[in-house]
Amino acid sequence: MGLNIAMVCDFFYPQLGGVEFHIYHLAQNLIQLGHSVVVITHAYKDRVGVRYLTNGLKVYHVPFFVLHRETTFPSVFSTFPIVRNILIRENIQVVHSHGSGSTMAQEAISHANTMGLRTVFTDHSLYGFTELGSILLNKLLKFTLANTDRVICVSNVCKENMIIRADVDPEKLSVIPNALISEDFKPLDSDIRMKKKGRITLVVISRLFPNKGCDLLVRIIPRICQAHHDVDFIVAGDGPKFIDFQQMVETCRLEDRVRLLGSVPHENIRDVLCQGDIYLHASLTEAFGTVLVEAASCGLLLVTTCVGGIPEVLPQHMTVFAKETSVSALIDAANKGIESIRSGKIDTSSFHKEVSRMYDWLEVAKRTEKVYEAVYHDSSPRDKNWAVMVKNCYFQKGDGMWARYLYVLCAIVEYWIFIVLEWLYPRTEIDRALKWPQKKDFQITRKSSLKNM
Amino acid sequence: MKEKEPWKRLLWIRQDYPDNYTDPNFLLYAEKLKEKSKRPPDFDYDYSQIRADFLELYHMVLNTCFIYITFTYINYYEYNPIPVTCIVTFFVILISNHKSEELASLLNFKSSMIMAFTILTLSPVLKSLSKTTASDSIWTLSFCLNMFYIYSLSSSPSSVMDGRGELIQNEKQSNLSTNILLANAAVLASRLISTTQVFCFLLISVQVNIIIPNLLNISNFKISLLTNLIVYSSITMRLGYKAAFIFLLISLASIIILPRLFYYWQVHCKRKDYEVLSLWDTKVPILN
Repeated sequence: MGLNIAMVCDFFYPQLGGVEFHIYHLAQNLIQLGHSVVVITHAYKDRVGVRYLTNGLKVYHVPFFVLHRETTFPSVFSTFPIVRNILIRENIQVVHSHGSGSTMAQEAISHANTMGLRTVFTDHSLYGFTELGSILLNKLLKFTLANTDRVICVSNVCKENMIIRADVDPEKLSVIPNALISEDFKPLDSDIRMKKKGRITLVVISRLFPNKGCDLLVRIIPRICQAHHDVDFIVAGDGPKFIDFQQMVETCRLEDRVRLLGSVPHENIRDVLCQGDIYLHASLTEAFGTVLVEAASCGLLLVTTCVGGIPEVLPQHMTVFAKETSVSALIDAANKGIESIRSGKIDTSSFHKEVSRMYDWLEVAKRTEKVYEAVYHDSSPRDKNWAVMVKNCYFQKGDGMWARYLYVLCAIVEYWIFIVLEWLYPRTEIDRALKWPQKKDFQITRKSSLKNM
Repeated sequence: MKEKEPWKRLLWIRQDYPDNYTDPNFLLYAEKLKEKSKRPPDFDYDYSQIRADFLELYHMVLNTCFIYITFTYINYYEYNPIPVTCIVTFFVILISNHKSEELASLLNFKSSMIMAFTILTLSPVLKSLSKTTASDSIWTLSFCLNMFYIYSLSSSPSSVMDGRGELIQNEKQSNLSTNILLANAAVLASRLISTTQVFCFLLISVQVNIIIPNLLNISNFKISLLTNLIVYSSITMRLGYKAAFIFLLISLASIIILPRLFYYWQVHCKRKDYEVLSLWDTKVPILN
């Protein structure tokens, strides 16, 4: 019997990114496994109301006030009426929120807990402990996660980060990595190679922000161009650091050898990757690094910094790690990579098959399904008892008196609002939405197609 | 039974462990970390130092009030500024002659004459410079400059921590704050009527806000008492008891409550002794 699942996140289509794709693919594969999934996100420009995506994935674009970088205004309670309405309307059993940077995701969890629904939370990024923003976010997360049934992290680093940040019981934390659709990231057939003969191309695909190591890249590229006359660069992506790249190209006169593509739509990423031999990644923080997996799947050798979850993602023979996040270490690593490509020591043609065996969304969906099962298996109705939940908030470990009182106050106000809403807009008066008809044979066709591969 | 392979910290292989398996080494590590966080921090923040710093900031703010007191004295009450200027100048010369030689060099006769004549030359210019700007704009501009002035004062300390954690004299002390103060005075000067008023106003501002804090320790008890007396009586005279009371409350909060909060923040929230916490922070790029 399939579950009714609601995925809640501020970040979703039409915006593109790691979290957005994760939600989309996970939802699609859960639908294939026989569950019913709806996505709740905020309105993007004129995209307001209910929309349907492939396979009847229903998306609620709720018109909330967007504060900063597509995150809604944090108000704790104001989203409750509409979220409650949607959850009842869709007969939701599990609320699955994504991303601790998303206000909607965190608020939806506390609303769902109040309504006695099961909650799961997935975190996609790493957060520090010393910045003011991170400290406040960690406090908020403690409140949200005090009563969340299960938490999913995308890598082991992310999980350990979460244990320290939010004091979650490690038993409740699962590690389920991202995946990719390997058919979309196939290398080119060897006879129609777009690459120039006798030259080696290094590809960089990244949003050009300081935390992606742009300062390093701007210094590395001229030095590598100087050292190797048969090396070219392709830089795809846009951001505040784009101008630094333009200046670098102009001052070092590298117009022939460095191509700046600007932002590239996601469906064209593979075409860009296939023009290169080596993927250069200089990120300074990374929870998972999906782009690395995509690059490897396209048959590129990876030259990367060794930060965050990167060492967990791919096997040694596909990567050359830089010892530290310094210009010299990255140049050494890049030289090593260029040398092994030039001498033909590394055969990257097998990468695609290997990667397609490692990461698959259906696998991710099955593992997530197990988490949902565990939520039901280990839970007792007492977990969602209001008194128990208030107790959990109050006895948060390692928090000061002020924070705990505030948690309890928020929880109690939340319950009051729930009671008022039940009286003002009774459950019985909310229409139930019809479910999208399930394709019964879909799962079987997919299995057979996998076998044929 | 076949023995289980040890768990590896890798995502790309399927391991015979559940998804919620946690590295036991990490659990030990987390336990250690928790114990450490319960202990008081390894190094102690000197609370009396924090309090002294806040008190110094308070005195700086009081000191900046003089610019407005002088302005009100000349512009609003329309008193003759010359006697006050003479008295202040006389006191400054008196104090500087009492002080040691290094300070005497700062204020030797020649340079002080140059300064005085420069101000005298500039006075007619400053008087008419922003004459056409509306008064409301001038007050806003002056307020912003004053905020910026306090910020620049507090962010360029006269002594800094060196590599070994010892206090040394800050050699690169910026003259930004002096420039902002002069800009503020120049902006306000356009509201005055005569060149004499502008000259006196600038001279008093420079002496009270720049030279006196360099000559005397403004946190000294007697000087502090005098400053407080002048500032509070001026506020009471011009704005009334209510404003003075609000000002008093804010001052008390900034010298009693704020240092406490800051101390609490330093000890409980911003603990630099967690070497582990840098594990997840964004790495710093080394541009060698």
